[in-house]
Amino acid sequence: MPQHLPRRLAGIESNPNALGVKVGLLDLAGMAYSTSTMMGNKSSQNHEIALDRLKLGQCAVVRRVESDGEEVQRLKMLGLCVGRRVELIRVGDPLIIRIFSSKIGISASLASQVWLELCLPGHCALHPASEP
Amino acid sequence: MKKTEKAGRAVGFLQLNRRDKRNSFNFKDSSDLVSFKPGHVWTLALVGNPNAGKTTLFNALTGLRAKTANYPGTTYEQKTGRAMMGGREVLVVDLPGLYGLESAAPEEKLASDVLHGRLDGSPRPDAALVIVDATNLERNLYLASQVLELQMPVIVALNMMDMALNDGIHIDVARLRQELGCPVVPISARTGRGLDELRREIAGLTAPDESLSAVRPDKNDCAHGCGGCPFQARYDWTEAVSGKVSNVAVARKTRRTELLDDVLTHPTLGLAVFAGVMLCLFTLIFWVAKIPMDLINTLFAVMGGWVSRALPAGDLQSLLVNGVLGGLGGVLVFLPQICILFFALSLLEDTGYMARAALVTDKLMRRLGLPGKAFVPLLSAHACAIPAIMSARIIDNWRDRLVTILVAPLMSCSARIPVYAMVTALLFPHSPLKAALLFSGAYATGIVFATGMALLLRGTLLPGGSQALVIELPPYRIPGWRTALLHTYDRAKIFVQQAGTIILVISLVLWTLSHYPKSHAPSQVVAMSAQADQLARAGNLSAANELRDSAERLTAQNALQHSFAGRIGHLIEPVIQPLGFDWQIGIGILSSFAAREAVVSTLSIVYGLGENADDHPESLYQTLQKAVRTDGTPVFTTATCASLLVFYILAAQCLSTSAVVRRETNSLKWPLFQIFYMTGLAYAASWVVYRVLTHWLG
Repeated sequence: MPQHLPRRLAGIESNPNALGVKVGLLDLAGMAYSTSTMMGNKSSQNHEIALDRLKLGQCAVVRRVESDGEEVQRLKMLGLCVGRRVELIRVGDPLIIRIFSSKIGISASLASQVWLELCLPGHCALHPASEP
Repeated sequence: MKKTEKAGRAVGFLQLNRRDKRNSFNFKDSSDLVSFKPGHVWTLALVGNPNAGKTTLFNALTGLRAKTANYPGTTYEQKTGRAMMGGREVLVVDLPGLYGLESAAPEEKLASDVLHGRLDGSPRPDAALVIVDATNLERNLYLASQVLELQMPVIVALNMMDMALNDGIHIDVARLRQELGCPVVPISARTGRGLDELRREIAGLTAPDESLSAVRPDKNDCAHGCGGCPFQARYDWTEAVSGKVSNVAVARKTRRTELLDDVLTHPTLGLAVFAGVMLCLFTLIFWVAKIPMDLINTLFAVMGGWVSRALPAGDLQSLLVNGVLGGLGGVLVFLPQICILFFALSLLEDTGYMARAALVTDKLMRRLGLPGKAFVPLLSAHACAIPAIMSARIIDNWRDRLVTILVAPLMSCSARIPVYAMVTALLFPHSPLKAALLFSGAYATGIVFATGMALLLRGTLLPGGSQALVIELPPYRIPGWRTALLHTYDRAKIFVQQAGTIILVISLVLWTLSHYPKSHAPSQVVAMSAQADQLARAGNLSAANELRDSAERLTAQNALQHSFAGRIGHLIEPVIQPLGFDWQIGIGILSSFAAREAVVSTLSIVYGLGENADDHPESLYQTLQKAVRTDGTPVFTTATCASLLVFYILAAQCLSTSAVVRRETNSLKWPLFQIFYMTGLAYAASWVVYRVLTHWLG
């Protein structure tokens, strides 16, 4: 089991009934994806979602960070930069995420500028090539 | 060698392997130490992420020898301390905590500038001690890797090793040493373990050894894209390194922190807990602090008594008792509140709770255009504006901090309480309920005006919303008493130096103004004294003493009337008349510049009640109620009382606060602006209140 998948989703992966759940989750991700394309963001076939849309306990990998203001710079320095894995541990405004072993509280307005690729069953955003 | 053995034992628990131990002791070969001239005091910069335990380590290395000053030309505090490390004197400089050298936040940029030697008046440090949180290697190594590229000797102190072991994290120190190419010393700054070893490493520092240089992120290939995120390559490197040296991937999450955070960061529960914590803090400040405050008051009263007895009555006695001792007492009486506040805040900060408090209050404060971190300083301002303004340093963004500093003195500090008590007693002497309501109303008025002013400043002078929240929530830890005590000592020293000097000078000036020029005793007093002597001869001692007392009060009143202070009172009377104040109140307002509460005793003298009215406030209130103007109408009408109350809520009268604002903003502009806007606000609001009430009540 790849360690970078959140436990919950990894559990689903090994579950024979996972297909239905998987489709549902992909739908959600698809919705987020279509929102992002409507906003004019060029997105690959990846499931891009803004950090403030992430669901509790969901895990994802940073793909893009919009703007380059002082606060965003700070976010990147704290580790919220392209290629890093984040997990949402409290929703709301401000929301709380986990990067590495530290927790960070962030205004939702800032979080909406961070675009992520969801880790999904059967799809590991961190190592797409080494997928099982 | 005894010391070596001790250090060896101390770091034994950190599971150093034998090879590493041998390496780290090779300083004994003294030929390694020759890169700097003898007599040259090394400057060692202490660098690290916020919450990595930098302050604790700094205190452990330097202790009470530390000095606090501002960086040249800035408002940022620089803590330095000399320490002997293995026979070599080292100047340790505590840099502001930062996450990376490219930070744009002013305080962090300053730290980066110092390390690069770019700050004028502050020479480039000779070496850097990077403190790394062992429980969060991936993030902390980011800064460490940047410092390693600075071409200066670097030592990495791997802090919180005890916590890491508790969390099930094992770190291969020797491997990390290899990866970083610099000495790595596992320590626990809080318990002091590994510090001897660290001192030894510092003593053995030499110029950077190129042969040790390991693979650095900047030398990485562009496997992950060079054009994109500049942070990515470095973080890829830190993740790779921490993957190699530790088993962090399987680390247990600290259950305690998770459980506490479920409650403390909850949007509603978290606020409720915060309210509870602040309530406790205020109980400490207003209730527990009363005991030492009363002690200090008593002490100064006793000392005043000694001086009065030791010296003959006259100017010197009066100067020492009222000017010097009165002034000193006026400063020191606030010390318990300030110490308790800073001690409690430091403990709370150290536990990691303050970050949660800033998080849960953020949404609330954002509506006022202020960040969550402004809440605690503004709340502390209800004890005293000085510690509030000093503690506004926790706000990272300069504009946010400035708005907080500018509005903080509008909050009702404890020096206003005697004034509020006087006015409420004058207005509602027989209705405790109404008096209590008015008292609360005074506090509410301060808060309403402060929030209004914050919004106004945000809309005009310092535009834009507050900076969006980005805050690290460190794991909960047991706070260190030593750090808190040293912090409290440091803050108390600044308070006594800053506020103390100002208050002492002002109370001496005010003493001079109210005692000179001398005036002759009025004929009435001469007659009264003669009559008292007659009564005394006749054996009626009590009547004689009573008469003498009233003669004394009349003399004091007369002297004050004809002094410079009295003249100034008369001079400003036309200005304050529209507010319903007469020249006596004018003298009272003048005396408030030393401390607001001084108005009560001044009024008691100016209305002929003598200097010791503090012991009998009720009689003062009765006298004040009877005070009449020259035309026979009472001075303290409802309208005048209300106007006086509003004036004291809003006016900038505490010059020590202005001195601290000057220190914190490093400019004269902002304290002057604050004095003008607050006094203008107070004048306008008092005028409106006086007008409305006189019109309304007839």
